Amino acid sequence: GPSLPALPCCGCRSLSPGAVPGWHLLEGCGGTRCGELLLSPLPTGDVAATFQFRTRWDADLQRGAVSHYRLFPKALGRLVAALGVRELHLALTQGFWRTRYWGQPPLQAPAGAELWVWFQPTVTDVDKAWKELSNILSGIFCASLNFIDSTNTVIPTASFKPLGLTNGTDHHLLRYAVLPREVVCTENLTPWKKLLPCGSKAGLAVLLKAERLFHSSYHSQAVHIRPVCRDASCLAVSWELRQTLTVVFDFFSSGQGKKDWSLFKMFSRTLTDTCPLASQSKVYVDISPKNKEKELLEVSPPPTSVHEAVVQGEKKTYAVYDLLSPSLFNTSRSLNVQLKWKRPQDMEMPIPILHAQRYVAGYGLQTGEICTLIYNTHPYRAFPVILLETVPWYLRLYVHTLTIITKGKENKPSYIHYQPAQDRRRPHLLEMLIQLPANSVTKITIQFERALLKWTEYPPDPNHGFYVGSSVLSALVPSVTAMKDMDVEQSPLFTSLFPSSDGSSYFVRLYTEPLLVNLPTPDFSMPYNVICLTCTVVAVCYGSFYNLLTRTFHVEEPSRGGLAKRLANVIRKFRGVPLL
Amino acid sequence: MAAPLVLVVLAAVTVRAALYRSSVAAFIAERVEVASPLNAWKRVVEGLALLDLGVSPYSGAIFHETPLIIYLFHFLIEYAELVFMVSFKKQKLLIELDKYAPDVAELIQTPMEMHYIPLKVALFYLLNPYTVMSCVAKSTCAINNSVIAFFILATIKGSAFLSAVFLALATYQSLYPLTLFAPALLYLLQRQFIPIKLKSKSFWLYTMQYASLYLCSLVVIICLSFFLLNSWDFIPSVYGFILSVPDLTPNIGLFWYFFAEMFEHFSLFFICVFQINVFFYTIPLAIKLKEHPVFFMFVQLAIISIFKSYPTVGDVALYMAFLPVWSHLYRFLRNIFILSCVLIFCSFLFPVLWHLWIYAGSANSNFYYAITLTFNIGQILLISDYFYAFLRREYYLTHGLHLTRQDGTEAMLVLK
Amino acid sequence: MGFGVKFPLLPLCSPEADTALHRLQDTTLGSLTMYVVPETSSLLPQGTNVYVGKHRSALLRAGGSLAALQARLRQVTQLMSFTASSIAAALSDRVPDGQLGPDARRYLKSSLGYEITFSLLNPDPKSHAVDWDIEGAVNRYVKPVLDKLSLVANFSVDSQILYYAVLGVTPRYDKESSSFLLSAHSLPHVINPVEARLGSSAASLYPVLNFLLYVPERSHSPLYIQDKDGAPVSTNAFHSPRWGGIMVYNVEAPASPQASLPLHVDVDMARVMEVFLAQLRLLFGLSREELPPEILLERPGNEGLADWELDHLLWAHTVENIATVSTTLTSLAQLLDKIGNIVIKDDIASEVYRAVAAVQSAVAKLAQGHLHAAFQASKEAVTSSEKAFFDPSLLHLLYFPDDQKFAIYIPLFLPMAVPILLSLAKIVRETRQHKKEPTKMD
Repeated sequence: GPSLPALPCCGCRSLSPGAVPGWHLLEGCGGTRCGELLLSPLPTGDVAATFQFRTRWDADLQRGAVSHYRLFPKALGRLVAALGVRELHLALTQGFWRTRYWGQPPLQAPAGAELWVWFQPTVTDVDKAWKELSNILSGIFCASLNFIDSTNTVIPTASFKPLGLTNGTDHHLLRYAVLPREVVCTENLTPWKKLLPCGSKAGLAVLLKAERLFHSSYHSQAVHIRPVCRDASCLAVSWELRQTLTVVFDFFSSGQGKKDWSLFKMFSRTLTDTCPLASQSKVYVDISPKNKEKELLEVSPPPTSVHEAVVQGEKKTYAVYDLLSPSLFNTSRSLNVQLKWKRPQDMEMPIPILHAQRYVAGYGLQTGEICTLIYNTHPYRAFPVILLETVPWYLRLYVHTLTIITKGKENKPSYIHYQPAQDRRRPHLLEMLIQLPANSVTKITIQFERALLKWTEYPPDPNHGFYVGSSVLSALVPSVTAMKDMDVEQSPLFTSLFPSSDGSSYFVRLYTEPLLVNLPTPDFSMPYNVICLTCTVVAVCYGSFYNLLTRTFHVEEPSRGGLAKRLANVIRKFRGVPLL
Repeated sequence: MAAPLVLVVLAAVTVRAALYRSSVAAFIAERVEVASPLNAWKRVVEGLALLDLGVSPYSGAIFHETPLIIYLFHFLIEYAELVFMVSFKKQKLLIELDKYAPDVAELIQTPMEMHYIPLKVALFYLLNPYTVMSCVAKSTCAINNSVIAFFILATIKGSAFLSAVFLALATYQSLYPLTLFAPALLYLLQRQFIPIKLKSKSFWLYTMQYASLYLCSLVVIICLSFFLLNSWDFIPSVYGFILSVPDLTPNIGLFWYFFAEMFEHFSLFFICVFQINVFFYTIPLAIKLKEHPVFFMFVQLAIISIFKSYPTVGDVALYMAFLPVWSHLYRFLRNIFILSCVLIFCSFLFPVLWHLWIYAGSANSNFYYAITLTFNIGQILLISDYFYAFLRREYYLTHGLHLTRQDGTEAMLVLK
Repeated sequence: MGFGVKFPLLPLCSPEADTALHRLQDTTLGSLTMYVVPETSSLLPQGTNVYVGKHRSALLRAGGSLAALQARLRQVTQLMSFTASSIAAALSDRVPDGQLGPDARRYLKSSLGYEITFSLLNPDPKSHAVDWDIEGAVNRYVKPVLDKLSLVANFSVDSQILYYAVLGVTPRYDKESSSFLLSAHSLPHVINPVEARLGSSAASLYPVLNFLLYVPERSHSPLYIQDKDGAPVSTNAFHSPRWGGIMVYNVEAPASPQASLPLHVDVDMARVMEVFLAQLRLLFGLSREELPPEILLERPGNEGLADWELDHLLWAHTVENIATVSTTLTSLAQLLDKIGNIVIKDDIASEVYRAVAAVQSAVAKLAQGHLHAAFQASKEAVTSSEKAFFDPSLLHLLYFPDDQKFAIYIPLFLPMAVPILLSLAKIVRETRQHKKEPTKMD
């Protein structure tokens, strides 16, 4: 492990001098510690459950040597302080969120591991800090984040903006890496749960049972650390740790075609109490009517309250269970939220305004083409989207083959940032700002060539293929329904994580499918044979030139004969025939 | 004489123009045997695209052309095709012309046919399928070849200055032509009737003169590139790329599979050993062939095309254009039939095995590798056969064609 | 070390004398000053023959023969600097097990720094809302000690609160005292489940010292620790060598059972820190062993340890460092012996030279009694030798033994060598013939 030098405090913001570490209680969800669970039935009949645990610490980790931790996990706090981290976002995901069918995700993450970090301007060697950080995180979360190196790290210029307080966005302080091959499993969940003050002993976290969570179509767990305003006046900084976990259970196909579910069916547990440290603990169930007819579904037990909000441009109705309200556990000792459909009826699938898909075209192992289709289904508004594409160096992209076609016409990106790859050192980075006209499909294609690698550079299963990380789409999507500012404060979960410019649009970050690309392979059993054969060819050349260069022509003199002649004479002698 | 030449040129132009316009052009341009990472036209276009995006073309691992090339094409991009056509034609003509002189040295024995040698050379180069393919693929190898052709022409015409300038250009383009310095110097010395003796003052004087001409033009060209780009990035990206062989895309050479399969620990050592091969034979050849610089040049070109890190068929075509010059060696060649068969069969097998490996998936890399090995052995044996024949002919020239042994029977010649 | 033997005259009581004399003394590290007082002096209390002060001085009562005085002087000197056993304990890792006594304590290994973590374990946050003023306590009690110890190593202190962290052993209910008991033999199992949650060492180079304050859950209160004989431990705490200490802090049951939960608890930090600091001393091997009653030791006061105890620590650590360096360099040498063709880079070589020079100077300084300089040199030697030993370039080359290298070079060089050898043979043959011919002529 690396040593932890004491970090000088840095002027991240002109704060009032009396920023003393301590505890404050804030109104709203601003409590020091909140847990939320959002259960939303998806159009396909699956159910998405999103947990979010927020811990706020009213101390400035960067200022002075804060070393006394209470609710904030010490391991992460020390990391942030020691390495000059301004913002940290780590997501470990298994499966792929199907935006087209499931709708806009509350918080999507690409398959595998994703890590992006903003460093403090005081950090002099960002690459070193980044390497050290990924090594330590890999230890904390038991993930192979230590495989993050210069070949998969990029510095995006436009796609990732800080989500917390900042006073500058010099993108040289940003690092972004995706490991699409990473498999997420129980050993990653356990350390994640350990960061919760109550562990999985009490509160919402008791539902997080590994054998259920990983028996699902999508599982994504994330950690977000960022500095936030301590209060409305924003004179002091607090640090926020947000742990989110999204899981999608496939009930429709696995549960005899019924879409009914309950907490117990999903997690094989029910809620019995709250974490005594939580200042807020709520369960939201999305009961928004999907068509004009209302009251299609029924939740039991009756919720504490019903909340209406506009989230991601859609009007939503939530049934809210406040676990801290004493009445909830009075009637029964445990809470098992159940949802029943009154009528078995297929919902019409609302198509999300922005969604995308990506695939590899072409055949053979020499060249290929990456195609991305981006859909804008908004009936009358166009909006721009930033596309970030990270491609490993062994797929050699040819940027002159980049074409962007919308409605049959070429669509020139208004901003393009391209950083070509360097062999064994740096991946390709392509960032573009593309205008998506209303009701359109944009097709982006770029050709690549597959490299032949050294035999030691292939993974143990080379014919499985190489993963190319998801491309990232970031956009401010115009909303169909107007949102009120109030909604952001009140509505559940993630909404406060992303910036919202005004009521007319909302921020969406989407990830496309990761790609699996085959490369030509050498024969792995051949190394020594190849050395021998090729060296022989070189030696043949050497030998023949050596002979021609060193020898001269002579007339052949009568010799005593070679080996053959001698042998023949021996035989002749034996037979009694005169010798040659 | 002129009429058949024009006819050949016309035929060559027609073939190329027809192929350019056909769908075969794209297929040929993708062939790894024709376009190497160093000279593929696709990569030149990529470099230009990067330049247009405001990114240094050398910041990535795609573009490895020299700065002069990229600027040449930057201005000429619209006329690129034309440029290729022009450069091809020019180069052909040059090769034809250059053959006049060498043959003069050989006139002693070969009679009237001398006259047709330029025509044969032109025919051999212009209609060689290898040349046609690299031309149609728009490989910049053609430009390198024409620079080398200019250099040979200048040398044979006895112009030390032009020869040095073109040699510098050729070196700047692909590094390996550095070894052609020795034959060029020997030829020029021969023309000046300066004896090649290490103690002779005039020998050293002329050598210094030629070397400084060469070095000066090289420095000028490199500085020019620096000023064009305002950075030295192109040095590692072009010469570092040639020397350290990071790109293992299959080609007809010996490097790619060897270094794909090499143990990491030894790869630096073997890269050095393999690169030295090109330069290794120059000095012994210079000593042995100091009286015959043109043959020396031919052998050296062949060695370059065998041992360079990213060879293409264009390089092979260059030295093959010399073969008609040595037609008088034909009677001394031992295996010419077998070797030509080997080379021709390999040329056909390259695309077949490539298809089986890359597209059909029914063969693996070893098949293609085996063909490259055979092709290279074929080349090596061809060159050494020519070398052998050349030496043998020399012997006969001095000792007479009918040798007798002491006992009066007909003698055999052996290398000892 | 210097031994000044002086005879003070003023009638004072011993602690005052100690303070007063402090000004006169040589205060360099490793020096000792012995004052011999007349047999009848009232400076020392009755029955006490030796008084060891807070600083680097001791008072001895003259008495008996000169030889007896000399023996006493020797005893006190060893007590205040080092004894054979304290050095043996410092080298305990390198001495075969048999040579050490069974109770040879395993003290903390010498290191350039230590990280101290105080953790409050609250397994039952529903019943107890425990709050501790750790910051104040660290400033008040721990900091003076660490300031003093900063000569030995760098220290960093942090703290955390862990909820729902339980000990690995279910305590036994004792009906008689209506309390729960943890017996001594079950203590080793207590730490493991907690250890996993401490979250230390993810990002540190240095050894971590853990001090845990355990507030037992309500259903297991009060909880007492028993020693081997079954008697309750007065401090209700125990320590684990090289790891840290645990203290059980019982919360008094509320007067009325209806009192609303959670019960608010403010930890008495003075009581806790007293125990933790004593454990810290134990971890560093600064235990005050059983001494004959005639020797009186002054309490170290607020700083937690006396000057001479600091010296004691430095002596031990210096010796340990020197031993570490010699082990490291020996293993490095063995490695190099084993692999003949290993490449030693210049910077590694210079680190090795630096380590050797530093360790030699440490030994020399130690012999001269310059404790501080010797300690610094030994630290440098450790740093350099470890840097050399752990250099990645020393590992990389291990993979290719000579025979494999040979196998890889042979396909190229053997065929290349054959024509050369043949022509050499030919040359040799020809020169022989040349030599023969002239003799024939004769």
